[in-house]
Amino acid sequence: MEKKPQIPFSPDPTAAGLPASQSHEMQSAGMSSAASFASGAAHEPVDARAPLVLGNETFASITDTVARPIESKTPLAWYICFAISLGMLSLLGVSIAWLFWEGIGVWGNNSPVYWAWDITNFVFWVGIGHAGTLISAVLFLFRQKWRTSVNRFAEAMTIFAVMCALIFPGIHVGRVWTAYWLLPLPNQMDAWPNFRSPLLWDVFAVSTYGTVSLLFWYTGLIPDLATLRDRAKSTIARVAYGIFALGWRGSNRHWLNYEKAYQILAGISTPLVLSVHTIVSFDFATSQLPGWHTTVFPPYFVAGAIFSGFAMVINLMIIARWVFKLENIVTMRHFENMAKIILLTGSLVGYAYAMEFFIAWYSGNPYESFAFINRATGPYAWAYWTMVSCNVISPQLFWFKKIRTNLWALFIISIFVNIGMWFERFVIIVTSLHRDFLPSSWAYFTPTVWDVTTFIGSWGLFFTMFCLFVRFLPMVAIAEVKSVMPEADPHHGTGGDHAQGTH
Amino acid sequence: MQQHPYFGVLAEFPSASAIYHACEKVRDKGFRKWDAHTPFPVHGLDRAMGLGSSKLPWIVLCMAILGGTGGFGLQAWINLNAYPVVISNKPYLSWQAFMPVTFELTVLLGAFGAVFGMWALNMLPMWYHSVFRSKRFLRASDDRFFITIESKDPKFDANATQAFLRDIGATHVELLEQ
Amino acid sequence: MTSFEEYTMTNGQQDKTYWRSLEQLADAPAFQEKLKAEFPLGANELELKAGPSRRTFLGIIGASMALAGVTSGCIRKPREKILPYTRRPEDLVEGVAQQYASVLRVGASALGVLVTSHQNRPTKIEGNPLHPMSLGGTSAWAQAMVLDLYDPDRSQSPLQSRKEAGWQSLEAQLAELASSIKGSQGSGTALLVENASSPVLNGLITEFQKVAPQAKVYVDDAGSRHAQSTALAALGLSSSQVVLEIDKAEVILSLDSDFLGTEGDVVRNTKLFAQGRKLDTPEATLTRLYSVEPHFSLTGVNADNRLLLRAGEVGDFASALFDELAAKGVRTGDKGGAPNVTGRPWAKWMSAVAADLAANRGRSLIVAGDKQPAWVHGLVVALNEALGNTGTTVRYVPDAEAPAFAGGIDELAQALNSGGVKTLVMLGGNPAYTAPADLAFSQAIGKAAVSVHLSYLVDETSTLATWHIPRSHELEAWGDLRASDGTVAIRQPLIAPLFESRSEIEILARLIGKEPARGYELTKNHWQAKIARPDFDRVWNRWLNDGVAGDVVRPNTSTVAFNFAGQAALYKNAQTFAEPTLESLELRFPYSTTLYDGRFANNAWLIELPDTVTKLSWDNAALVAPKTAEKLKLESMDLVSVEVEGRTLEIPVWVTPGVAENVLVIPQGWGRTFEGRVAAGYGFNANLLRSARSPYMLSGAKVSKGKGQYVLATTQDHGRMEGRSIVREATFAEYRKEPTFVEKGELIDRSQQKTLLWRRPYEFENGQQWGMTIDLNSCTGCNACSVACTAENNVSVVGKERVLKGREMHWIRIDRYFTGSVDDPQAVVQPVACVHCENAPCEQVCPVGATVHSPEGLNDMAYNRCIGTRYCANNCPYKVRRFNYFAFAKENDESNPLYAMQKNPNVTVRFRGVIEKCSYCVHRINDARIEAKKAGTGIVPDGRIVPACAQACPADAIVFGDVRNPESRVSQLKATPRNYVLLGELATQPRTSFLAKVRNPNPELV
Repeated sequence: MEKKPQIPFSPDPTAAGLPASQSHEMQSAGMSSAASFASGAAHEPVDARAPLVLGNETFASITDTVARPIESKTPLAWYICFAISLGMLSLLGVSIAWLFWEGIGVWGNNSPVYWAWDITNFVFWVGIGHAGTLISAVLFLFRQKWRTSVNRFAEAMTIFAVMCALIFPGIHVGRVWTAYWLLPLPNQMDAWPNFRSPLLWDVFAVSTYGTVSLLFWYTGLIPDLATLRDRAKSTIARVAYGIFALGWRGSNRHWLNYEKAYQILAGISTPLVLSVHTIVSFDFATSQLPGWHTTVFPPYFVAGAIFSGFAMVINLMIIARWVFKLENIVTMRHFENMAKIILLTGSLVGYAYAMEFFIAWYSGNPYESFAFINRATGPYAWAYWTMVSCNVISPQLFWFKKIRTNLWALFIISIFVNIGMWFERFVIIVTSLHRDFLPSSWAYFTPTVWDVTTFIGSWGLFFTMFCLFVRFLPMVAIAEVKSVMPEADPHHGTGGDHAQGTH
Repeated sequence: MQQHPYFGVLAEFPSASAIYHACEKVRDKGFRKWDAHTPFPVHGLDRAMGLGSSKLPWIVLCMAILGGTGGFGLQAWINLNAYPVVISNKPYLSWQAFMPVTFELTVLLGAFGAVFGMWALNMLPMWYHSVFRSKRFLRASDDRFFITIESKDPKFDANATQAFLRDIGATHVELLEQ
Repeated sequence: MTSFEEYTMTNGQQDKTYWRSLEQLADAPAFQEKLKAEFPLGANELELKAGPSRRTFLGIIGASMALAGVTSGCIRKPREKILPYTRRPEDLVEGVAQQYASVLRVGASALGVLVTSHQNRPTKIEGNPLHPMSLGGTSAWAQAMVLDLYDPDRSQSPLQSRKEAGWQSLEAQLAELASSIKGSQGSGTALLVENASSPVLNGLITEFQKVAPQAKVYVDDAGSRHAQSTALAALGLSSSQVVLEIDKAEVILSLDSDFLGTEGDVVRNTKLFAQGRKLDTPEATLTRLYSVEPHFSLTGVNADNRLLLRAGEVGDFASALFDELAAKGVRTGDKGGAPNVTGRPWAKWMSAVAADLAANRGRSLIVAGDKQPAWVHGLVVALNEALGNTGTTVRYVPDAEAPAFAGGIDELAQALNSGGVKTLVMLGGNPAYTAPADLAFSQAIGKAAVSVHLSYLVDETSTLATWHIPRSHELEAWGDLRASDGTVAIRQPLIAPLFESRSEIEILARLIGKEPARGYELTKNHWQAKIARPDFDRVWNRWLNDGVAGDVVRPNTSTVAFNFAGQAALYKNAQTFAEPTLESLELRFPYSTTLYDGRFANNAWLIELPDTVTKLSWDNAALVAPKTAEKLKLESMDLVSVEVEGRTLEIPVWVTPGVAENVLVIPQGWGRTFEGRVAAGYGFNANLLRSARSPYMLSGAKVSKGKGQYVLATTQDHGRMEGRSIVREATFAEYRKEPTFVEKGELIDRSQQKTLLWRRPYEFENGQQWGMTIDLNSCTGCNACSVACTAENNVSVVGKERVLKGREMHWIRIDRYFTGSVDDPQAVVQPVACVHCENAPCEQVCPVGATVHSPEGLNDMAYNRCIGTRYCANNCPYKVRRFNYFAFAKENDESNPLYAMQKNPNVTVRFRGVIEKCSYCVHRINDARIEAKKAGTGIVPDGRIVPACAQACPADAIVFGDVRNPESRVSQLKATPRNYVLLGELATQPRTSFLAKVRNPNPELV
């Protein structure tokens, strides 16, 4: 019987819009990595499809694997991580309290460096978020089925990263108790915000991004929450999961709308994720400060965001996979694909760095050229070269498959990438500000202890949220993974041959 | 029609292919008030059940348009009527500068349309449903596949329907109370 | 003091507070003592808490609770009571400020001023246009003196040997002194006065000398210009003063003189000098200023030709010039044994100057510096006479009523050490601090059985004297001052003394036993006796109204009888200063451009005010030339110990271009040791090295590298323009050839600077459009504008640690750049405030629209709307926006409740977390607009609005007005070819433009 491919749950690579040859290449890649990696991969998968799931897993075993961390006794490692994260989080609390009590002066910000670590951290965190949306939305549209086992995780990362990001624009204002004036709220003064300000665009962009990411994530969670509800032993768990599962009962009439909603969300999240970092880059690009006033910023920032985001996913994934024994679901192939994306975006970023210098020279604008020469040779040269070596040089190692498929190498390089990307924002913000038009106002910026504690604290928030996530929510999209298993195909077994036969 | 003591019958199937073919048969038998329950969206099942396509996109479109026009309208109104001030001596209607917010609001309301529209179409949340009465149904979110045929369906007959479902390969069939 | 100790010192302040609170717990009597004092609380708030500090712990707890919702203590707003008048005082309209004429002793000058008073609070000091020493201008010092009135540490009760004593016991003591003086004819009595510039005081001194013929009267004051008066006395002009008529001079030679900065009638000098620097018309001429000096003084900064010469060699220069002029046929006469100097590297320079001077007889002027020995002054007097300048460009004004003095501080110290002084009465001054170390004056005071010290603060001398008497501020006491040209002005108080206190004339009157001994009667009776006129009351009122005693005849200065034979006597006890080497450096002790001789050390505005040349704030340092520093292997902030004649001082060095080789410049006035909450612990006391024999320069100093560094706060790290055309400059010849030379500095053609990507919705075509010009050719960089702005706009003081972080709040700053070679540079200064761009980059980035444009072209700042994103400051290419990183204003008030009395009620006091900046004194604009509306025209006449900076400027460099009206002064200036805007290529189209600098160097020396 004829059937149109249903994306993405089509089991058929050709239906997934991929040439058969590629699908075979994918398979072999998967196989080899499986052979080299997962111990349980000795047996061949039941049929010839590229194994996104290794080992002879069944629907039930998938459910078990994913639910295990939530239902079984919490590993000691989790308690340790959570304690540390909570400690860092309380550091954030103290730092912010002190900031509110005393004023922005507790930070190192000065004149002319009116923005420093605060906005650096903001851009850094927003950037981290992007990989999540990219995996869940863009790869979805590009029908990359391998995303299914990592997207839940990446989306969670997005949301937590955006939470961290939202802290900084919130607390960096001098009179934090008036921050709500950023919103277009009617007031007795009849004053309205200034919609020409990129900072206001930020408010809308980042909050929209946070909201949509949350909705997207939650929508994906609903069927899995139902699964947990149905497996729950304790009443509390059943009620808790039950409430959020909205009474999901796997009705196929529901799946119809559900899939459509998911598809649409993916569709609008894609331009959204691109717009967010574009708009963040406008904070700088639309100003007239040499080193900020650069048209290359939007694409350059987006590439950088994806770059750092994927590095972060790899770091977190490697740990979670090890702690929760997810080797069969999160395979080497996933890591390798992400490494390739890092290699691509890293090269894009490197190109942008080079292009900045070229334009600075080509524009013939003395302030512009000075700003960039000052980056590479000025008082902050150390920061600039840290950035270059981390962002441009280290990812180039991913040209080698050996390194792409070595978890240690992946882990370390990804950390370097994140260090580098933090420094990229620092370089853009601080080195541009500290020497601008009038030499009389030039100055050097040094952070205070409170700059550092606030940044560390934001990591605390990030990790705390993550610990809670892996403990109480399925970190892999159960339903989606099942749907890409060979058994998910209605023509599998009985009608499988005819399914093959038809195309 | 009179209130029936039963909600309907619940039939369990072992695999995706089993329920796929079963659905085709139920559809061909001409049942209207029935449904299939699967742990994941089984590809092609909607066609096997003879369902049309979703109305959701229209909802999203309306919401997105509302967000876009509303967003731009707000900015235009503020800068032309409510609060026109000279800022960097830029035009009052600096429409280029209004694009980002317009776009973001379009996306935001679109997303609301997609998620809450889906809830509305599926009549979610609905924390109670008769299928939950069945112990076996717990596996509907794990590895089992179910078909429910409601007593509201004119073709429904407690015994005949159960038999029919067994015939088309149900491994277990039970009556569900209201 | 090592840098480490320095830091613990500043933190030590907080430790002290911490201990204080412990005492409070212990309810220690010492703490009860402190409670009696008016404001012990928050005494150390001016010190910055770098990172966590005294309030850190409680703060964090409190804030955490606040966040947790336990308390809402996060935002601290002051709670205040307001009491309205039940009966309004006569001629007082709420909210309308009043101005009273008075006269203040500022530095060495008697400055006529108009004092603004809000509801009887003196808040602001302006120049009195009718007074010849002011001509409407003021100086940074004059501007800051209003803050002294509200000094937190001003003394509030008499002290007997450092213990509080009631006024009764003081009066008793004074009566006793008076009778004993009368009885003993004043034998063994010594009286020390600051200066002889008050006729009333002089009259009382003469009376005192009649009552006590045996008593000795000494005079000592930084402004007493000892060398000059000695020279004049020797040349037959005893007790005469020098008045410079700079506007009449075409060629001016300054021999180590800072007549534009710290010496003599600086305001008047600047006013007249600036007149010769105006180039409003293309055919205007330009005066030429030569300066010979060992380091950059303001005079040197503004010189057309500057010869870098160590102070010890300036005398040789004068002497050589003397011969050169004689050779050029100027009848100079005998130079009294001054050395014959030949073959010096500067010979060519000198002869060029000589030629210029000789060519401009009667239109030239030579000025000798107060820091030069008397014989140099003698030579200069002779040269001016020979060049026919006497009476035209320089006048010598005798003061017939000046009392005869037994000498200065040296003589007093001798008298004390010889044991000849039983009773020492010091009417002001602070000799224990200011006297050169070799006099050991602190010990000498002890030699007198009774020592009485009248002073404003309980300073170094007060703590040594047996009696301390609180002194009234000049704005609180009646009196008078005689300017150097003989103009007399009455000093009328604006407010009753905030704390019971006495003025110098009141104390002296008591010592004579004169009744009534109240300032008002003393002053008025003195002049009533002088001006014997029936209608004196009317005359008196006119004097008070004008601020000038017009009816007092000024001495005739047309004929001067010199006796140049005195020259030899002057040179006899002259000392020579050997060519310095790295092993034996030459020391030079100028007066601080901000703290003067230290009298302003407790003035928060001045101590934070950066020196124009070094840009150092909150400290002084040993200035050394880059080359010398390199040879000595010294870097800025390195601590060195300077040793000369057995006296040593540890002080950080500050590498400063424009200092003579192998010379160490250590400004006076710093390192005060009294308990001043502002002054204490800042800077280093140059007096510890000074010698009475040669108070301003010493040779043979050794420098050894101390351990560690001392952190100095500067407001400008970078002194070069990096090839950017920020300050545009040309020589007079170039300007004549190409008047539009400024356009060469444009990166983008001026026509294109107007083209924009968008159509401007508002073309500023209606009403009056405000704009400003700043003439870099007349601006001397005196900082008056900066302090005036601080006073007018309630700008906060932030403290050293914050200046280190670049958080100073000055709305108008003086940028200083060095040009030319590092070893012999030129310096240019540029006042920068908000330039009020028509296309302001700051506005478009503010998310809440807190900074927007007014219809009259002002870049307005709405503090109440500002949420403090600081985005505007990032996007401001001029970096003129200031951010309240902490609750600066609140801390200032906590540190001293009295500061609140100075605040200008027409300007918002900014809250923590908001941006602030120059508003073009918008409150003054509105004031004028309201007036114009009441007048019916609605059009503010040109010149009616004068921003604080422009009003204070002694050089009239700042002009403000309506740029839409082609007739207005500002429009006409903007039409001149020198007009340019800063960073015009950014198309910000600023309303403030600059008039380029034009130097007039001697062509032979270019």
